[in-house]
Amino acid sequence: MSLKMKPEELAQTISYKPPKKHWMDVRVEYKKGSYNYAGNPESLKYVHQPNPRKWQPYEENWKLPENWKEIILEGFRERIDKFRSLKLFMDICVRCGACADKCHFFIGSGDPKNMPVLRAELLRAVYRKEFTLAGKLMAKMAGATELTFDVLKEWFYYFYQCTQCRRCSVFCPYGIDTAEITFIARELMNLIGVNIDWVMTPVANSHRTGNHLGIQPHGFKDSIEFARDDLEDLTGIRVEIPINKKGAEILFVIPSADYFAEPHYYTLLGYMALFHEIGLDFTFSTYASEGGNFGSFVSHELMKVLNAKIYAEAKRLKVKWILGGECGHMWRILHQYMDTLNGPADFLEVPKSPITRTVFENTRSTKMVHITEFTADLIKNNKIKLDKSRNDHWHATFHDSCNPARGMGLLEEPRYILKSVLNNFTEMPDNTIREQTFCCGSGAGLGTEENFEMRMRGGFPRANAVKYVAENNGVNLLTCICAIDKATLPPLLQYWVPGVEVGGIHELVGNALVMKGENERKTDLRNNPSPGKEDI
Amino acid sequence: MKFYEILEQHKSQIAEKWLKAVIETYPGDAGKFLFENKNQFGNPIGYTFSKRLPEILDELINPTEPQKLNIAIDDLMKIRAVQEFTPSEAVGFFFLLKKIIRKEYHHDENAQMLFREVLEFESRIDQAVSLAFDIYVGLKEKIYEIKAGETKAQYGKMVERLNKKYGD
Ligand code: SF4
Ligand code: SF4
Repeated sequence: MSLKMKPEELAQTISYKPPKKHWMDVRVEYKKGSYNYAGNPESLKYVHQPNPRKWQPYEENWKLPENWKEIILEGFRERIDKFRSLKLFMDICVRCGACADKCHFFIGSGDPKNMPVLRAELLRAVYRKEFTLAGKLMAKMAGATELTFDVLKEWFYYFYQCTQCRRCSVFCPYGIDTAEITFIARELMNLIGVNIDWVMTPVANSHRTGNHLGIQPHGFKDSIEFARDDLEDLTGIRVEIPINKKGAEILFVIPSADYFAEPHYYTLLGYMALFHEIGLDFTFSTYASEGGNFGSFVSHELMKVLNAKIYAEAKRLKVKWILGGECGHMWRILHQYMDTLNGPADFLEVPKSPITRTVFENTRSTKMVHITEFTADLIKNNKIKLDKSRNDHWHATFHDSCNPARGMGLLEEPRYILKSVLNNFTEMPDNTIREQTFCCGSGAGLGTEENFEMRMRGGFPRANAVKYVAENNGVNLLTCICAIDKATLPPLLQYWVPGVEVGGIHELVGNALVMKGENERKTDLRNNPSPGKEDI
Repeated sequence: MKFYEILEQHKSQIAEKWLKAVIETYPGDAGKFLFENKNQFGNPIGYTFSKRLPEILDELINPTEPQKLNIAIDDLMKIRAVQEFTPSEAVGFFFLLKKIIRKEYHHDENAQMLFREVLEFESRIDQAVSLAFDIYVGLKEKIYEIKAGETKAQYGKMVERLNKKYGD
């Protein structure tokens, strides 16, 4: 329609009400801004995934294999036998509705099919039809549905409108984890080549070079050296950045965005300054050059393949233990799966801070420590000198990224660090932080341009809480410890709360860190004038 | 009684009906949640509409300063512009107000005599629609700008590095 219509004309084109049919029966319509483009066949081929071909979700013909239905049902049956949790999640939901209004996509869209219970129902209905007696005999009464192309289209639409954030599971009295159901649904669709490019191409790149963008070892080295030069300009100190150094004590793994995207990059500068200051014996790896693992957004198999490099590189470089940076789903994978996927890491030692001698008992089996655990321990033991006033131009709040918060229970350490490096800190309202944190709306492979509107409405509950502390308390910085957040929260805030910036915790650590022999800091790590130095 | 006095008197009922009607533009059981959950953070759509619709109505009945109307409509359009509505559906909720008023208050014996006021009020609603539509279009433009900036930020430091290395 034309954008130049008169109000009266406009009124005539409006349907005020949803369609007359029962809304559960309404066929899904692919609306622009609400879906992702299909996986590039070349990327699928590279990682040997089924049915590589050119297709798009809005087309009528998805070019599926003739027996696509059997493939999915067979895959479904296999997984029900393999994962007890899946069978349980399929059987025990009592439709109490406790999860219904807890999903940010439902809260922001008002589309009932985004209620977690109904999202899962898309899979459950097929399960009932195919795998339960009641469903086979009395389909309608048992809420059972045959798997048809229309059902498949709904799966694709709604399982790619779930960021696997797990907020719903916090409220389910039975502990049903809809994120896990989404895992399986995406995995089943992948069996017939139904997946998205923003996941598949990074997967192929990561498999080839270790990181999402396909940056090769010399490119990685260049990037890190570029950052070293920047840090020298800012502080006057030239730090050493070991890469692929055999026999280093610690392997440090970061999300690749830290070395090419903004505002991630300032966090990278922060880590480098910190490690130099405490004299840490660490190394980067040019192949474990990515904490992110988009394989986990499409199948257990690909998750395993991409995750393997972390232990493999630790072994090759003969380090004692692993330290991980401000990454999101890397930590969920570590916490939930890594040990059984690619462990046991019995060739490594139980991580012990060389500076404080603290043993990180919680990482006894995985041998991998979160950077905020490590830094919080340094601060607690008074091992670094911090000048909070260097962050006085910021009034921060903290967004608990879904994966570190709900996926591994990391809630206190980031806050402890923030309060040590910053004078102005305000929490967002209780029902939007910690275990109940609202997702950025763009995780699990959904941070694309083509589904921008979906991201904006999915991120609305998060932005709404930021807006509250921005308006009432003067918050101007949203801090977080996840690379996807750092990429997707800035556009979210530009839309809903212009004026609030996004930053990492180690960026603020880097600002506050008093380094031996440093020049007077005239700017912060972003090269903006430091507080009190505006006129210089 | 004058038409505006009638409106003034029934303001809160009208706003309540309007809110209900707007909420019904969301499918299925969604409306129930959006209407009943009053938590500012758990239900930002419901909260924003229940806060802004009465403000808009108030401003339509007694215009004070245009900025007020602007802010309230902007808040609502931000929500509608990223939901799955066509442009006309996104701004169309103003016509629901017309409908409510026509149905319930035009028949008031006294109001009948003040047809001129009725027309004037309706044209204020039309102006609000135009304003909403302008805001809507502005938001869509903003979305394009944000998208462009996003791509730049995603690879920003790499481009800067390559420039330094291979540029000039
Ligand atoms: S995991 Fe998150 S996105 Fe998925 S249904 Fe639950 S609340 Fe929604
Ligand atoms: S809270 Fe759990 S049991 Fe209740 S409807 Fe949701 S998934 Fe089912």
